[in-house]
Amino acid sequence: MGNLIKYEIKGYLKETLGLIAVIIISNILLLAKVDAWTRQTILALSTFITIATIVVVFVWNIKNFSRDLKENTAYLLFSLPISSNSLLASKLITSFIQYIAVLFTNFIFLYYNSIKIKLNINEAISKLNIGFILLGIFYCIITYVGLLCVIYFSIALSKAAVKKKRKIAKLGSWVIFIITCIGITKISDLLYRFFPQTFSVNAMNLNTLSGDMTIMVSDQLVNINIAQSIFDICIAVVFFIATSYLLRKKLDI
Amino acid sequence: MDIKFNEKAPIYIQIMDYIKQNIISGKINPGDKLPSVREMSAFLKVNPNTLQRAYQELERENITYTQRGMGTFVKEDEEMIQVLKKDVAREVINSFVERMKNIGFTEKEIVNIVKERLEGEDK
Amino acid sequence: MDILLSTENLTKSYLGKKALNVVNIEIPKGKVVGILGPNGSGKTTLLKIIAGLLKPSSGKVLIDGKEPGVYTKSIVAYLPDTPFLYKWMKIKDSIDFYRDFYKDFDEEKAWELLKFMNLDPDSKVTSLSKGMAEKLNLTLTLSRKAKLYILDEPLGGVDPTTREKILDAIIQNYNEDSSMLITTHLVNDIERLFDEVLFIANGSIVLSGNAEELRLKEEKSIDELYREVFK
Repeated sequence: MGNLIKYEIKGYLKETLGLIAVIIISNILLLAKVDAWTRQTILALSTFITIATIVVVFVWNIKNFSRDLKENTAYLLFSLPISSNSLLASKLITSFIQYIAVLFTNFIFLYYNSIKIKLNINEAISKLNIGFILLGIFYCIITYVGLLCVIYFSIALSKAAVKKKRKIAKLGSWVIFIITCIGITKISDLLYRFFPQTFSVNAMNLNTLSGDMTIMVSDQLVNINIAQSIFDICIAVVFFIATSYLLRKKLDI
Repeated sequence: MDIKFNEKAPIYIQIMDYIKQNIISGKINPGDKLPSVREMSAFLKVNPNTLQRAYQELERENITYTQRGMGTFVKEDEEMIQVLKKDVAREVINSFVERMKNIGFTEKEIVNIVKERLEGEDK
Repeated sequence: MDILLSTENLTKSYLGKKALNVVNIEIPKGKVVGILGPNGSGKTTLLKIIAGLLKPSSGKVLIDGKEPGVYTKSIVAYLPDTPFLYKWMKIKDSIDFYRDFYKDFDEEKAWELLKFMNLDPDSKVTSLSKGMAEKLNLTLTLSRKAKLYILDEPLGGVDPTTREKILDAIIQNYNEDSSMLITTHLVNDIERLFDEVLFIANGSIVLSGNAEELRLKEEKSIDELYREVFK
């Protein structure tokens, strides 16, 4: 699987490096405007860049999968002696590597800009509960994996069902995706209603942040619904397995 | 040497004929080792199995023999070569006579025309 | 396993149309088999099923006794009739790729073949002409020590000199433990390489047999036989 990841990254290397370059250049340009615009504006715009790049990587991740099913390179990829699980996992891992690279670059500038507004980030971060951070990251990963897997599933199912017309297949994948999302949301709501038990996590241990911007935060206990959390994990697992099955047994290249 | 194979007839037979010709004409001498199946098939651009069959048939006809691990060799048998020569000659003559007859010559005419040709050659 | 490939009532249908119709084949090792037929006869479909890219609608296909899967993909070397390499690759990247994913890849042989084919390792895959791309694809495929080679129209759209080189490479690649399936509709150039031939039309095998025996029996070349069968 290491090889798969290596080549997945190679396939998107130019684009990823290009995106990082764009992030760096645009942020530097923003910083050059430090006299004309306020720091807060620059921070806000920097945040905007971050969000934009997250969206771009997200779109790339989807395209990466659908392209591999459509184009002639599918002959190469699906003739390889690799399991469908490895194939899928390598795509997910590659997307994470891309995110880490892109977000890291963004965060450098966000951090720098925050420090400049004397937003006491360091203090804020030190007061955050480690458990909360880890849980947050874990939750982000699970949710994103689940999201990607549902999307991959929709694309694969549509391709498996519709053999000929490309346009119909694309439409089909959207339809499947929407229906699946609605279904998932409905089930999630039901779970919330029937199993309201939650567990609590302490988010922060502080009251205010000093500096130009004052934020009032109290001891926040975040309540997380147990059933929904388990459900989210199940969604990720189920759709991973389902997509893998489709790739292995039902897909015609 | 580039041989043109006639794909209408089995190729292994044509290969055998080719080798027999070479033996008769002396290009291949008794006791000589024939090229390996791999070499020959690459040279002639044919399937190695076809070549294998040709070699097997040659052995069956007692023209060659195989030594395990060493290769296929032409038998050092002068008599065999003479017989081969006669066989090939007979085939040539048969097909010649057939064709002349098809053109419309009688047997007497054939003999005469051959005589003319050969005497002409002496001059 | 002496029988490298066997299919049992193999059928592949698309929306009512049968691309392959109850196909039964058995191919032992050490054979070069020609699958001959016009475009649309089912040749490519058959090869893709063996390669594991298409799934049969019904019937079985066994490669070295196993159904298509990860193991069979490791012993089957498939040459598609379209370009299939990633666009960002240079020739040397494709060699690295094959080496990384196929344990049976002979890198040394690949470099030799590249030289034989006059290909420059630094050229981008997208910059190659059709003939050069065909030579590269064949190099990659034949440099694997696979049990079953399946070549889809390896001679299509290339000039005569390239064709000669491709035929040479195919002959030299032969060994007794593997077999080759070669589809083509250009029978003339390649019929000398075939042990067996299968004539396929509309998804069914209409004629099959040993090439030499067919020549003997029909007193025709395989090419002429082909024209006759598919006039």
